[in-house]
Order: sequence, then structure tokens, then C-alpha cells
Amino acid sequence: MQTLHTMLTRIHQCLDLDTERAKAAEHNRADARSLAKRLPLVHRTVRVGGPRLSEVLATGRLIAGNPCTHREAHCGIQRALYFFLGCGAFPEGAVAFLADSAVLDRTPATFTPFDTGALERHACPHDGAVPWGDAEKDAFLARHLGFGQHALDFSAEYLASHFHSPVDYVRRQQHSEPDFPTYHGLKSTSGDRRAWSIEVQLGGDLALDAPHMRAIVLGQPDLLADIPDDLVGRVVIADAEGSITPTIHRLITSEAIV
Amino acid sequence: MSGCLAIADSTIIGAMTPPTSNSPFNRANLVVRHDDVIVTALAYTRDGNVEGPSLDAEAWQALLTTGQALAVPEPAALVSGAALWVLRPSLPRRARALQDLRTSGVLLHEHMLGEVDSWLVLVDESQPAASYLRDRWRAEAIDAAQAMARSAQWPRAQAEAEIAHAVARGLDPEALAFLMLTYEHCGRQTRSTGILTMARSSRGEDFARQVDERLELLRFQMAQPVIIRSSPSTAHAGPARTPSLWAQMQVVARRGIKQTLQQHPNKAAS
Repeated sequence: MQTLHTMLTRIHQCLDLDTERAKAAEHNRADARSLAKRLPLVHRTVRVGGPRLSEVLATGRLIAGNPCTHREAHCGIQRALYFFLGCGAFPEGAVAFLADSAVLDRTPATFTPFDTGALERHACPHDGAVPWGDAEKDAFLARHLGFGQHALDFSAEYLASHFHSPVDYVRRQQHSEPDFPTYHGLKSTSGDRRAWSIEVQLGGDLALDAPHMRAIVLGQPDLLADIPDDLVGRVVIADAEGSITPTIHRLITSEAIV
Repeated sequence: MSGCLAIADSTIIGAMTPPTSNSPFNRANLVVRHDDVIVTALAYTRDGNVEGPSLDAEAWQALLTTGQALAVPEPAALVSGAALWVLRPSLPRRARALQDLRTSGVLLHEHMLGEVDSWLVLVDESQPAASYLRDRWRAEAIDAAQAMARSAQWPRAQAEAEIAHAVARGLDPEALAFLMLTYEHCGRQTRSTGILTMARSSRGEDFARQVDERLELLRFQMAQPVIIRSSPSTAHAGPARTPSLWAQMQVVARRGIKQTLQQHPNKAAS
């Protein structure tokens, strides 16, 4: 696990090599910090072997499970509930849960500036000449794994140094790239944003109660019947059919979450 | 990633709605397949294609196992405009709804049985009759909710309001107002106020105001000694038996309320 200082130093090393990028980062820093403070943790309950949506709603909890990859277990992650920080980078599912990032202060967590699952198949180094076997992937994960409570501070600098406008981190399409190459050097084999979106691995369950949940985005109005009474006030119905992700991004960028 | 398949080559394998739900009705985009390509059918094009986000087999499996999508028991050929409607056992006029679909010619396939006795119905939504039917079911449910509410049968009124919301095409201020009113009377104040917050977060302040205004009007209506109470058989039978009489009574009632509101604006505000 890396300290925040170590992780930021790696970003700054990247900026030192590119004056235009460093200028953009300097210009963006205040906006990025402001945006980072309000980024929610976005969870889509879709995972083979994971609980059914009806069970999640009935128990009122998002349950942390075994980590998706053995690499994470090797890094000391025993249980994980996966989120993307500030974006709906996981595209599937009928529901999205937007949790308040304050949970990172109370629950052990880790983060990576990419989807850990993508290391297995969907992402590889920009530099095609770099070896990319099991040992390299293990080392790569260990080198970019941060402490959860530092995720917001890290994200401010990460957004400032990868985008001309920090809010583009939130708005970018599923298949897109940041404005500047990722400091970690990873890219998606299909151009998927999961190669550069910040993933948070929460080490424990999360109660679906009002203090934790900022919003529950439903793909269809008819799913409202499945939401417990105390959470109805957190529900946002997606703007249009199949548009959960744009709705998530609208909520984050407009601060319209009640 | 966005996918595109020829409609003629595509097979319906499922839909993007939970296999079980408390909702009496669900509408879902279909999930279709051709060879190894799986696509959620968001749009049908004039040149015979279906478009939408593509899924890999693992993601589709994950959606199924987590109960966020359902697989149809029998794969069926795709038709332009097709969508899945799920009629749950809690839909009181379910058999009649299915018959409505048959007779209006929008049913694409004989209904299939889903989990917990739900009926999976493939409907051609490109035909106006499909939208018309949903609008009609919504109007009937609203009328029934109103009748139940007037006779203080609040749990039944709530059930009808939930049907109106579920079958409505999109968020509907009147259905939401009825939901709020009936939840209030059924002791579910948290849910009632939550509906208004949800309306505001989903569609903005103006939409929430519409819901709130409808709710005020409903409260006012319910507080009035109404003509409908003098004819309980008509009220219970609703529009299905005597639509013209029912419609006339509604017009009279609305006119009376409007006039009262004009004469006593403070009543509407209270």
C-alpha cells in the first residue's frame, strides 16, 4: 500500500516532464479540489455470484465480498465492496447507489486509479514493449494501491493533472480517454474508461441508510415499488430509458443530490 | 460499447428488469443476441437494425444472477419496436390486460411464465395501441384510486395508485400525487414525503411543484362532500361499467372544485 505522498509524487514526476500539462494542472487545481470534495462513491450491484438486487434492498445493505482477483488478496484486501469514485464507470445494472465519500473516514478501504479487475484482461501498459505477466501485474497493483481515506485528496490532483477541465473526469463517455496520458501508464484494450477511473475497494458492508446514501438512481420508474420507505427520498429516476450513467453524471456535476 | 444488430438476425433472450418485483407492472428493454453479440435494445432503426449498449456474456450472466435482468423462458425472434411488459400477480385486472393486448394486436408472442407467476409479454410498442393501452390502464387505476379514496378504502386506493404509477409512461404528477395521498392515509408518511423529494431530484423543482399542487387539489377534493358518495354502486364499478355517467360526474365535480377554488382561494392554500 502506498502513502498519499508517494502517489502524488508519481503524478508530479509526470508533470515535471511536460510543462504544458503542469500549467494545466496548476490552473485546474482549485476546481479539482472543489469537485473532489463532492464526488460520491458509485456502486452498481452487478457481479457474478453477488447478491440479488432484491436481497440487497430487503437486507438494506451492500455486502462486501471476496476480492474479484487474487492479486488484491495478495495485497491484503480481504473483503471488498467496489465503487468508482465520482463516475458511473461500470455501465451495467438497473440501479446505481451513490454513497457519501465520508464512509471512507469510517470504514477501512483502498483505492486504485484504475479498475483492478481490468488488469486481468482489459488493460495493458501504453508501452507495448513492457512485459505484462502475472508478476508485473502484481507489482503494478501494489505500486498504485492507496489508503481509502486519501482517495479524495489523491483524486483532486489526479483530476487536475489529467483533464483540461476536471469535471470532464465525471462526464467522459464509457469509451474515452483522459486529455493527458495516465501517469500510471495503463490503457484499456478497448478504450474503456475503467482503465483510468478511480476505483475504491471498501473493506466492509455499507448500510443503505440515509446518512450513507446520497442517491439511488433507478433505470425505470416502476422499480420505485422495490425501494424501502426510508430510502424513497433518496431515489432519482433516470432521465430517460437506459440512461443511468448520464443521470449519475448530471447529479454529480450539478450538485442536485438532495 | 454501443452495439448494432440486424433485427432479422436477432433473437430475444431476455430483458432489463428484475425477475421479481413489488411493482404490479414492469416495462423493460429487450436483450437480444446474434451469435456472440449481445445488445440491449434501446432503439430500432428504419433500416432494420437494433441498437444499444453491448454486453459480453459474463456481464449478461452477472445481470441475471444478481436479479437485475431476466431471461425469457423461450427465445423469440425479434420484431422492430418490441419490448417486454411484465404483468405481475399483484396487477388486479391482469387477465383483462392480457386480453386487451391480444385484441389490440400488439402482442407479439403468447405470454410466457416468469418467476413468481409473473406473465412475460412481448409487445410491439411501435404501434400506437400499445401506448393507448397503458394510458387507459393508468386512467382506470386513477379513477379506481379516487373512488376507493372517497370511500376511505385507503389500502385499496394505495394499490390502485401504485398501478397507475407503474403503468404510466414516465413519471406522472397525478399518479405521484395519488401515491403520496394514499401513503399518507396508510400511515406511511416517510414514503409519502419521499415521493415528493424523489420527484424534485428526478425532474426538477417545477415538476415537484406540479405534484404538490395535484396533491393539494386531491386533498381538497377528498375533503368535499361529493356526489359520488351518493351513488356507491357507480363509484365501485368505476368507468368500466358506466363510463359516460362516470365521466359526466367527474366533469361536474371538477367544475365545482374549480369554482370553489376561485371563490375561496384560501381553501386551496390551506
